[in-house]
Amino acid sequence: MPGFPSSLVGTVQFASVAFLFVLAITVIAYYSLPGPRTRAVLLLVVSSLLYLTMAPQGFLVLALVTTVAYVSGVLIERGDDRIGRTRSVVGVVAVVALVAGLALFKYADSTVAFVGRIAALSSLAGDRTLRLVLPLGMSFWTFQAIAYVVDVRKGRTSAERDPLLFWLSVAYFPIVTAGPITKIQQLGPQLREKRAFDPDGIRSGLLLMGRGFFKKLMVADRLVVFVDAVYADPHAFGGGSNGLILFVASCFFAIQLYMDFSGYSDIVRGASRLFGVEIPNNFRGPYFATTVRDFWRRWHISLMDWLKEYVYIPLGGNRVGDARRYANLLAVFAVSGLWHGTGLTYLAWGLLNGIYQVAGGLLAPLNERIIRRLRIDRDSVGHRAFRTARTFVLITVSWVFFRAESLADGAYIVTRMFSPTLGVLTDGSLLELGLTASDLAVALLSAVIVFILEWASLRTDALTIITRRRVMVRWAVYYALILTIVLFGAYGGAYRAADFVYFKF
Amino acid sequence: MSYLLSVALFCGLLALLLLAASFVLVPAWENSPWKTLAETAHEVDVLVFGSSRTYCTVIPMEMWRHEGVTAVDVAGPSQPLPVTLSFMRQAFKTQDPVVVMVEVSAVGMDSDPWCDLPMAHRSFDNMPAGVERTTSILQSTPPTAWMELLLPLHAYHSRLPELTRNDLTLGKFGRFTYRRGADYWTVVTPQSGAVEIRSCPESAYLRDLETIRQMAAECEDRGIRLVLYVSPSFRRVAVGGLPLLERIAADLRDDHPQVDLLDLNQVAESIGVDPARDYMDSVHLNIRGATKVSRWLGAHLVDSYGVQDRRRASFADRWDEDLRRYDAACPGIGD
Repeated sequence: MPGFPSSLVGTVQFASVAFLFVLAITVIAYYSLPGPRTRAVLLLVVSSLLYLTMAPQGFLVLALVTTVAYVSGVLIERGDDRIGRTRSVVGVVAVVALVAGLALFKYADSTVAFVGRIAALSSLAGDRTLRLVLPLGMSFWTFQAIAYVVDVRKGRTSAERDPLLFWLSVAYFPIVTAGPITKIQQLGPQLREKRAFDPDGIRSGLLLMGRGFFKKLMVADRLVVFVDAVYADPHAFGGGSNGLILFVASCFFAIQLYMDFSGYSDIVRGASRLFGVEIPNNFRGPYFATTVRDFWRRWHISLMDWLKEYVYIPLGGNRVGDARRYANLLAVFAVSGLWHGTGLTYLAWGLLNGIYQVAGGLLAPLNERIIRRLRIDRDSVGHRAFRTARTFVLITVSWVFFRAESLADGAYIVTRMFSPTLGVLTDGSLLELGLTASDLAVALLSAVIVFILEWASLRTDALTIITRRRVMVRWAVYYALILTIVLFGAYGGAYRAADFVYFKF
Repeated sequence: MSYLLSVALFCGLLALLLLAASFVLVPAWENSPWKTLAETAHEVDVLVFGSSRTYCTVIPMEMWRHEGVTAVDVAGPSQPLPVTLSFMRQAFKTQDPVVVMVEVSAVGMDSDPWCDLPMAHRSFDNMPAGVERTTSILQSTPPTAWMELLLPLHAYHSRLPELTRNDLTLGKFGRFTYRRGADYWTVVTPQSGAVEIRSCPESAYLRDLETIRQMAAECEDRGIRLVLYVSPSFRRVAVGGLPLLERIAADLRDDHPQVDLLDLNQVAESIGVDPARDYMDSVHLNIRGATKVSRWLGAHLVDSYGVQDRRRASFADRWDEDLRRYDAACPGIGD
């Protein structure tokens, strides 16, 4: 972004004191302003500035995508079907433009490089790329814009006429970098309303943010050290004596990714709640899922809902025959993989998850027979634990491709990660990969605490229970949470503050 | 109103908790000069500023032992000169010295801004909170380091793997006040061969020259003699082909003629600094070398600047007691 001071770039990250400082000032200013319009202006200014500090080069693209979606919405609503197919044409052109824009930034470089490599093989060209940088959060706000255009075209929602509110609904700082993919018609009415100051909302928002920081700084940013060390050179671990390290690292990655992404989601949901604006929850205890299908109802919910509504259902959804339905499932997960990245690893990851579900559907009758034959109680704790563990392992295997540097690395890890080299758990090998015993203990203990609380939250809202306790109890919890993060969190100069994983998508 | 009060109370209690936690867990710099300066308020005639070359070279207790000179080292590791200027201004709040010495080998030594966070922590974490500390952090370090340095609670979070029982010992800051800011090393690294010359870029020199001018002005306003010096070293600084002090002398001659310059390399041989036994490394003396230099420096300060013998002052007993503690901590090492 020309003119934006380069010294400010990178000064604000979500997991930072600087962000908390900006947030506190914004909340105070927000409730000091008289009307919803001035408050919206404030949020828009802060959102734009925060985006500029994080990714100035993507700002113009964000503005362009927002403008395309806004103008399309207005044109579609004004269009008159009696004199032609104006609405459809505008809708299709807008969606194609948005998809093309995303594809350009996301895939053009790798495609050109791929073509260049093929050309180089025939001595026709060298290694060239366009050097396009994917703007921060583009995958998220482009999907948000596509959903809006489609919804307006289908008449599911009316066009947002207020350009300020529309711009804010896309650039709203809690969601602009990595979602959740929130429908503009969900945000607009909330941003239009004048919200009274709500101490309970502030409390629960802060507590939610605290939980997010806990996940990110206590667990994710510790485990990332171990995971990076192993995945940087997986071939160092595939031998007959230490293959299990690959399994441990992959499990750690599964936990790291969850703590990182759900931690981010907690932080931004909590931050948004401070302004009285609710954004959707992206996770609902995914690692307690008992099937892969169940997992995908609990993981990155806003993306899966989007894929279901704008890809799966238009393809026929469940209303078609089994063969077509399975093909649709594979298509949805292939799109999901490609949405995450250009590498074949992402496609493999997506397809593997689709295959899991197709296989689950095909094997369901056999599974039923086995359960009946063995007289297994479906509701028993043991059976549920088995299914949960099985799902975790299957998902962890798929995460291997998500994290691996190449398809070959992924295949290498998957074929060696289950080698029975239990000795690595006790011979100190795990402590030679960047984490000390105390670091490891803090990370794993913190992860256990998070999972216990989330398990409890599946039945009741643990955060609400805390915010409704007597003041002494509440404060004790708050102080314990803050001091724990401050004392034991991984941040600052001694650590490489890992970016949130999903910022790159 | 009651809500605002409860928020204020919550934040106040949180601040107290964090303060208590930081007191227990901030990486201790037991040699921190700030507690020393507080304990010896208005007693010190010679303040010695600079980088590690200062606290490895000048041992105030040796000057007290032989000349009755009251001195304190007020220095931080790899400390750039703008930060040293802040140290000077902060120190003047509790001391009225007769002579101020500044080791200037740090000219152009580090990047601007100062990005060496562990070193910056050492300098800033124990510096008294206030305008000097805040402005110094904002002016000399990059924005990405501000939060970490302004809120020292950042300093202890990552110490989990290295915490020991000693971390829970209260009062560890400035525990070695009897050293008067000096550090001492018993390691011997024989030095031989040619002296290595680091060429300081002109732009970096001019930037730090401005800081030196501000130091001179601060001292002149208070009637303090300023001595710019370089410690004995096998790595020295040159600017535009001239030895550092010669260049500074030429640049300060007109506007600050009363600033004195002292190259301890030139006296090192005559006072018996032995390159084979008295260096910790190529830029720092060990305690043998530092003791020799400090004894000479004490006499020089008395002879050249009229620094008084304070051994009959009301506070002399305390300085004598600290000298005994110093001797007990390093018996005979300096002989």
